[in-house]
Amino acid sequence: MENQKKYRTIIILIGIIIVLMSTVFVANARNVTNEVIDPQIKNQLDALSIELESISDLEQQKSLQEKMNILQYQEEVRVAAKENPPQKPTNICAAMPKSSSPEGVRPTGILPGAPGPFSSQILQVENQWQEQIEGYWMHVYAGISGLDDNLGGVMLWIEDVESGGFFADPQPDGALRIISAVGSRLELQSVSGNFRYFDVLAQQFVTDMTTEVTKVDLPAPFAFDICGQN
Amino acid sequence: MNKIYRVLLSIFIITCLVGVLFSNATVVSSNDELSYKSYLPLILKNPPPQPPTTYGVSRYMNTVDPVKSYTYGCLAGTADLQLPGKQDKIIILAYGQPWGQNGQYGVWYYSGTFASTAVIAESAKQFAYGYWVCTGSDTESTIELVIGTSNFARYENGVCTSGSWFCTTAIAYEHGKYWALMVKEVSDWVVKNGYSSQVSIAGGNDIEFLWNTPAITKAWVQGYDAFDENKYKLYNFGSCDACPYVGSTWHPPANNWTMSDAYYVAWGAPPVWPIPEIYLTTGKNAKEWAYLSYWGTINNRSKIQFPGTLTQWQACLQRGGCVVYDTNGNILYGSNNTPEQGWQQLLNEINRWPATAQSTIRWMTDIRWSP
Repeated sequence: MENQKKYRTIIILIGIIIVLMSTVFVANARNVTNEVIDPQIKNQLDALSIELESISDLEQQKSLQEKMNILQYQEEVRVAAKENPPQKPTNICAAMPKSSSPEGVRPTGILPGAPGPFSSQILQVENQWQEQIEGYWMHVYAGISGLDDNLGGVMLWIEDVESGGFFADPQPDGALRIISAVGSRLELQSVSGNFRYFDVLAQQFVTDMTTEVTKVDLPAPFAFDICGQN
Repeated sequence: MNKIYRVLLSIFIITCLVGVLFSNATVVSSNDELSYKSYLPLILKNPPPQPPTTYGVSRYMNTVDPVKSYTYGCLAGTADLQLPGKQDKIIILAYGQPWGQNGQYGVWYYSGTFASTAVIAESAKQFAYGYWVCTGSDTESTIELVIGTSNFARYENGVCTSGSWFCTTAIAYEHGKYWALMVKEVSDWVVKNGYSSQVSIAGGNDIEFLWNTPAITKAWVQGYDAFDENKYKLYNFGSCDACPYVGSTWHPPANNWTMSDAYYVAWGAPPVWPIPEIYLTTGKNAKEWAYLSYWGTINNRSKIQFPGTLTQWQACLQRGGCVVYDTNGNILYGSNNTPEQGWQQLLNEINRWPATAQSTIRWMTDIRWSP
């Protein structure tokens, strides 16, 4: 009797263990069956498919179907390329292109507002100024912060170096606009008509167009050519 | 307790623990995008979704120089080669505002001059090639490379200024068309040369409501859609300016955009997928985009599937200007979310409603200035 109870307990426990192990296998089963298709793409396709079933609007259905077509094309192309991959060059420098595109002539001075390398959430640009000074291309964008309706400022971007940045109007008075430039000194005006002055080389707002200030030393330009070809 | 019971109990507990370690808790459905799942009882763990381990480095392209473009691609490839396992990233190359001159279409890029779509295509090809070459022995890692422009034009008192070019729906449609043709050309080149095992090509547009009207922006999207051959995605990596959000649902988006317009350029148009700017530390950007998706679900549209998030954390480190201080110099808020913060904010917000939920977001990317 005692032995029978023991055996029954053992059998029950073994049964539980088998169920748990089966759970693990089932859990991982999809990883085996879907090896060919990228799981990320499959997830996106599955989700789109579910949405497609739940939407009655024809335009919406067409849109979702096209999104699925694009994903399928993308995946077909990837899988096809994997079947017969070309040999990669071992010398990354030999693979580098030899020539650079000739650049067009840049306008200089005060220009209409173009978007700088930043979002309108950073600065909504009124206008800009650009010149090459001491061998560096310098760009100043004037406008208003995208974060604060009253905070005017300028964004200074100096090409090829890690320098510059956003400079807030020391006496915030709405958007700033560049109205004149002498050398590296800019005259700006706020929406209320007040004047501000910014020295590009000193990277700071100053009191007028003439007071001398110490310029900021710029770091060496970033070395783009990892192979020293140019 | 009898010895044999103790042994059996130990085996049972160990088996359970091992099962937990090696099993994926999302076991019942084979569809990862289903957010509400039933789980096997008792012991299977259910960890919260984690952001991708790394982010793609997107760039404001201050150059179209093929050498520099190859170098940037090579830097991205080298980074993936050095990371263990397969990497899966999205990288946006933001080339600047749409422009045309002398019968050619292209961009007025940040250095302050025109670049045609042919020149941009060459730059993008060299980036793709640089990535493929420099991943070396890593043949599994992949990038989706987005060739991006924007919807910018300069307006004064509601009038597109003479210094702008992107000012009519006809121009916008044509530019969208030529952008799609350029994306096709780059993609065909990538496929023909066998790089598509690791690189796929898409178009992109930094759509910001404050930069242009919905009519012009939608015309650009329609031009792209008409010539994308149903093969090339279009990523909107812009903002949902002044969009309503939970707690502030009464107002329309900025600059006379409607929610219907916003939805169309984010998800409604066939090729479009959003990689939204999730910059604000307050979480407002994430709330706006999540609410846009929710708005779709209650207006006979589908939920938006967000494949990724865009932050500008690196650019903020490089240039500043991303933080607002109070009069005592204390930080009030900023637009310098880290990639992980942006990703988590959006995931949390879209899971506010069952109808908009996602179990995870595939990518996160972070933009920087290219020195």
